[in-house]
Amino acid sequence: MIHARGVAKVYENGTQALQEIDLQVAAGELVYVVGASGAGKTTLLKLLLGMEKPTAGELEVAGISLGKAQAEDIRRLRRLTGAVFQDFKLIPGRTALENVALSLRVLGVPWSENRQRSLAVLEEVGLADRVGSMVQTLSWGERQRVALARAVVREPRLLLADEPTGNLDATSVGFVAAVLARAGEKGITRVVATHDTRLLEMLPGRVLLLEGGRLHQVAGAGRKDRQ
Amino acid sequence: MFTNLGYFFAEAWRDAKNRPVAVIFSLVSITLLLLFAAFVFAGGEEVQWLVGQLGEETAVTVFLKEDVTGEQVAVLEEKLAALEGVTAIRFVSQEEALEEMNKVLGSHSAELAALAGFNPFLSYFEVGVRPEQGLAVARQAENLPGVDGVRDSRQTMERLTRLSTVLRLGALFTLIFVGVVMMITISHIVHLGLLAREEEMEIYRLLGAGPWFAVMPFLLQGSLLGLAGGMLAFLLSLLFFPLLFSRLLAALPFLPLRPGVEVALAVGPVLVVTGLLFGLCGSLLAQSHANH
Repeated sequence: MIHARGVAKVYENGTQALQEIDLQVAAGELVYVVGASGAGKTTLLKLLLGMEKPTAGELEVAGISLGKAQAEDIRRLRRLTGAVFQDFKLIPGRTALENVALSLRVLGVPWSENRQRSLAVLEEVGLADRVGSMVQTLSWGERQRVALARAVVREPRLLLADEPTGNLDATSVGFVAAVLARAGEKGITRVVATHDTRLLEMLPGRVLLLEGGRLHQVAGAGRKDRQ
Repeated sequence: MFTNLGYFFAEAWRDAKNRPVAVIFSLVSITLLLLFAAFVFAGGEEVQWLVGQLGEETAVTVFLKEDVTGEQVAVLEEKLAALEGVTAIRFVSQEEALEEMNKVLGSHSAELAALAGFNPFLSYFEVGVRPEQGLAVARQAENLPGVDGVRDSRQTMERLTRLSTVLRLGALFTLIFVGVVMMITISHIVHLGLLAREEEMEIYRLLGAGPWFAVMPFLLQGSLLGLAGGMLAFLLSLLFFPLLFSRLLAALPFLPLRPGVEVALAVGPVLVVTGLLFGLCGSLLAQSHANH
């Protein structure tokens, strides 16, 4: 699903966010990317979603080469992908249901089916009683779960999540872990940037450590091997 | 695209509801602009209609002196018929002339009746002529014995045709001018809407929306604003034109003007289509401006 070879990202201001990233992620796999703030986790996810272009190396996601991708290729990639952003990127003034349903609207799913699927996913993340609430009235944790629901409702081939449990209590982390596990059952590839050990414990997966823009594979929590 | 049509309409409506004052001001401006265009356009249409009506009438009217005898009328008819270019000839007696004017005046015929038996009209010949011979026939007819005067309606028609052309051109330019002003107005309001929802549109893109998904509500909004402006201008012209034309008919009863409603109905589709088209163009302009 993801093939990266020698990928680097240098921002216009000269900041080297990523360097020599080699990564292979198989379809259906769950990969955690951990690391300190500023290590490059968000940049890596942005590259995978086509929000940024690599400045060096080769990066291919779902068969789309992102180094030379055109706008249409990026659009195609994003339609195959569900993404949870650190700042949620929910639309204020809309209900939780409307925000989740937007994900399927973009794909042209008819409203009756869209509504049914969106309600089911909101229930799955524990927000059945908040579907009609405006997102700005929800707590941070609830917003985070709406964002996760919006990402998974479309049953993407690839799920990218940036700190999906950052604002959640233990119960809510459980909801997120369950959603990620169900996504795995459906064959969805998951790349999750996190430093929440609760999630890693609840739902084991391959752990990669980003340190100073370089990627290392961690065989288990607390043990680090050079990739 | 069609799956989301209802959603696009709902979004267009939601955006309009969020800034009602701006939208209402735009709608009023567009309506007034189109109403102004409607008046100019109606003027052009009406004069064109007059030309058509008058074109069906005799090109040359030969008025006879009051004391002309029946024998002289017969001789005149023969002479007129023999003139080159004459295609038809019809004698209209004083009584028939009065009757025709009564028909023209319609409800105002009481004013003629008030003359109490006095007939102010002369008898005349309606002479059908080939267009290119009209002036020559008029000149020759003037010199025939028993002829009081000649009216060459061709000249009037030529003037009317020129006036009609000028008015129609004016109407066209007015429509273009109004259209451009409308486009700027609509483009401005749509652009403001697009700017206000920039962040939202970025989210659409991150979800993989096509380029039209985000802007479709605004295209609809601009088009609907134009359409609504056109329809309102049409309704207002249905209200105002009958009043205006009844005043005109009262002042110029001898002109075969159409009823105001008929003129409004003729102009209406132009207003609606113009509103819709320029509304859409304004939205597209705003969208391309926003893309830059």
